[in-house]
Amino acid sequence: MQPAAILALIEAAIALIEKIPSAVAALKQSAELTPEQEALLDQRISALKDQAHWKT
Amino acid sequence: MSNLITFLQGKKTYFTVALAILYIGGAYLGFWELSDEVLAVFGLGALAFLRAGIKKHAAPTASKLAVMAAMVPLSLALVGCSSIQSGNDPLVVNAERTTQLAVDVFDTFLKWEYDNRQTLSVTPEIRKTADFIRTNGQNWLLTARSMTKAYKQSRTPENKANLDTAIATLRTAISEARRYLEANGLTPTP
Repeated sequence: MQPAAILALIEAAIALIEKIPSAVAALKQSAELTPEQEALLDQRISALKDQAHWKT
Repeated sequence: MSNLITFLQGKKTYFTVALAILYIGGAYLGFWELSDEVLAVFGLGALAFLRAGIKKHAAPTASKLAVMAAMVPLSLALVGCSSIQSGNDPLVVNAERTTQLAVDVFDTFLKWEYDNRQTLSVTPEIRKTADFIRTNGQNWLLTARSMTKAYKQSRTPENKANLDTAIATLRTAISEARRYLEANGLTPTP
C-alpha cells in the first residue's frame, strides 16, 4: 500500500474516532429531543453546506 | 481453557467495555441495529466485573483507581443507552437518533473524501457517492426532520409512513458511505 494511502486511512480513522463522542451521545439518547436540542440539530443541518467539503 | 481464564483475569472489565465500544461503533456505522438488551448486558456486565475487581484488590494502585474511575461513567453510559424512557415514542427517538448519526456519518465521509481526493481518485465510485451525498444529503436530513416534526404534531398512520420512508432513505445513504469506509479497511467486517 502506498504511503499516501496509509496516511489517508489514518486520517479517516482519526476522523471517525473524533466523531465517537457525538455518536455515543446520539446513541445514548433515550428520550425525544427537547425544543432546544431540536433547534441545535436543525442549526447543524442548515450549516452543513457552509463547509468546504460539502460544496459540490 | 484454563489459559483463556488466566488471560482474562484482571482484564474482564476492559474486555467488556472494548466489546461494547466495538458494538456501538458497528451500530454507528450501520453494521447492525442497536439493541437495547445487548447494551444493557454490556453496561451491567462491565459494572459487575468492576465491582469484582475492586473486591479482589484490597489496595489498588493509584493508576488502577484512575482507570477504574474512568470505567465507571463509561459503564454507566452503556447502561444509560439501554432503554427508551417511558412516555417517549420509540419511533421518534429512533428517528432522531438516526438523523443525528446520519449528520456525523455524512460529514465524516465527505471530509475524508475531500481531504484525500487525489489518493482516492483511483476509485471514482467514491467521488461519485460523495457527490451524490453532497447534492442530496442535506435535503434527506431536512426531510427527515420535517417528517419527524409532522409526526410529533400528529401521530397518524400517514405521518408514520412518511417518517419511516425518510429514515429508510437516511439508513440507505449511511450504508453506502459505510461501504466505502469498509472497503478501504477502515471498519471491521461483521
